[in-house]
Amino acid sequence: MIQKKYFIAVVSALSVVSLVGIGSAVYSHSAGKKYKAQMEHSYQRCVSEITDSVRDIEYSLEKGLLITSPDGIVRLSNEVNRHSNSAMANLGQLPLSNIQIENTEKFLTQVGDYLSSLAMQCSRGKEISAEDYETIEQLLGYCKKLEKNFNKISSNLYDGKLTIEKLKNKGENDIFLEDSLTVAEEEFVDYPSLIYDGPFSSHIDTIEYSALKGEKEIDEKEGKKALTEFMGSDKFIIKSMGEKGGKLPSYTYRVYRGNPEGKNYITAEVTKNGGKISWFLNDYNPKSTKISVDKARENAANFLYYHGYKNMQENYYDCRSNVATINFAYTQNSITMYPDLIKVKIAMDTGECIGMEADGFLLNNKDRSNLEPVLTEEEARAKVSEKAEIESARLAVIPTDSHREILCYEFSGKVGDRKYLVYINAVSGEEEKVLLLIESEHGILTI
Amino acid sequence: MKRKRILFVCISLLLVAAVYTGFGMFRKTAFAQRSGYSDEVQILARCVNGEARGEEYVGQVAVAAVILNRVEHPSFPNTLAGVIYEPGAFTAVSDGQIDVPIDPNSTVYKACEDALNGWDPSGGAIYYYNPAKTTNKWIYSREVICTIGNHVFAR
Repeated sequence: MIQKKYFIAVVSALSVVSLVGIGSAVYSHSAGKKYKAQMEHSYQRCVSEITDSVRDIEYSLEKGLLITSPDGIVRLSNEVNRHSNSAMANLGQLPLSNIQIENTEKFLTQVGDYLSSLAMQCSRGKEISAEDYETIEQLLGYCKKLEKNFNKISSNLYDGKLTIEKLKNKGENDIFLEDSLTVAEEEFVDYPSLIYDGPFSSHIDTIEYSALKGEKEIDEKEGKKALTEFMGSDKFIIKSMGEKGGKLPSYTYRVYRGNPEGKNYITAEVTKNGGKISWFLNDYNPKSTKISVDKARENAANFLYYHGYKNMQENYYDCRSNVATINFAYTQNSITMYPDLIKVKIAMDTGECIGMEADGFLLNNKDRSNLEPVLTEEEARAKVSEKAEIESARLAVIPTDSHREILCYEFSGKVGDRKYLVYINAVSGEEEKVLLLIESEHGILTI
Repeated sequence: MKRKRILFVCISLLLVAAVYTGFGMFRKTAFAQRSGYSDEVQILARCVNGEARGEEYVGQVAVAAVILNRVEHPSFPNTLAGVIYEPGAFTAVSDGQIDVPIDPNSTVYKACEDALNGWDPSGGAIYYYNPAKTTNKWIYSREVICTIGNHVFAR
């Protein structure tokens, strides 16, 4: 027979626990409502900022149609970029999947990028052409459509007709942000490929690989053969892992140097065009450092030479977590070709090469024997800031963001403690780039 | 007899409540570890860890490369944090996997460094998905570049 007092004790304990449970549930619910309201307000702020920014871009572009001076274009570019960056940043905070705002983001990125590129050209003396005005007119057209849609979204938001989060019970008259933006996106369906001299230009997607021009296409077996030769032994087991499309169609393989069912293998890719090794990675993870950095650099250089990459000159290296990554650039006629890059990874315990990446080299390598500077080194040196104490100079081809190439004099100099690289265009004498050289315990970083 | 039964039910409920509360109190929010890497590598590594820690090494490099490809692409935010924290972009962010501590034996840091140094096993992809897990129908319309482990890479 259970005693009465025990019975009462347990039932009371349960009641207390239940009350505490109900209390905390009520508290969570109200805290939840508070956070939800905060989020809604944050999203509303974003929509408001985007609407303002898009309107400002529209006004700027309208004014831009009448600008003829170079500094006018520079000011225009600064204004538009400021607004488009703000719009992009706010758009990126809304709870939408990228597909719903893909074209909108592309427009916002390109409008700023295009004007930056135009501003730079104008500041170097290029005249604004009729074509440029036409492009601005086109961009203005799209901007107006975007502005109209965001105005609608904004007013629906403030009228309470629009909710940002998708609610469970979607009424017929309810308008949701996602759907409103889909309308905006549809306007952009025939948005043209904007091609200009900038990193976000649409031409970047369809660039040709110079080193593979004219090479014949190979099949998977020939790819395996090329890889076997590269790996240097026919005792390794090579498994075909399929094909890769994209900008450089290739065959993918796994190379097993030990147990073919084991976990350690090398993944490699061989280009369909020409059968070149575009990259490989050994998943071996070095746990200690036993060789010197100089030895690693020597091993890397030997690896490339042995595998048929001649005239590769070491540039920078980075050494951390028992792995050294060393950059090599192709040289021709004593000119360093920075676009033609190959990176090599060396394990700091065994000294062995555990990775190679040659996409830059395959994309850009070509004969540039007809390249000649117009300025002499002294003439170019005179263009460098007087503050810098120049330590060395050489010729180099540097890539631009839009995949163009420029022949420059590369001056390595310092101002006090700081080290710099200054690139002077060897044809026009313009200052193309200034880079900071930061030396750390891991290696050298150029920014 | 009736009292005994009621007592039994009450004690069971109390035990359940105790266990539930116990779990609530002792479950800590996990955060990714810090180490001697730059901000850029940290945030990238946390995202890759959340998305692909069970994948083969090359698969991890590929995921890191997709994130970096997005930064370079005009249709995505232009900063690393912008791309990673874009709402809905990565399930690892929405479900908290990005905050899971990175295992000391993990290869994600090295995978991220390789991606930052230019290795791109994804072939320039800006999307990837796990066909066994994804509920997004639209993503199947994108051009497939390759498959690595559980992930299909597309653009």
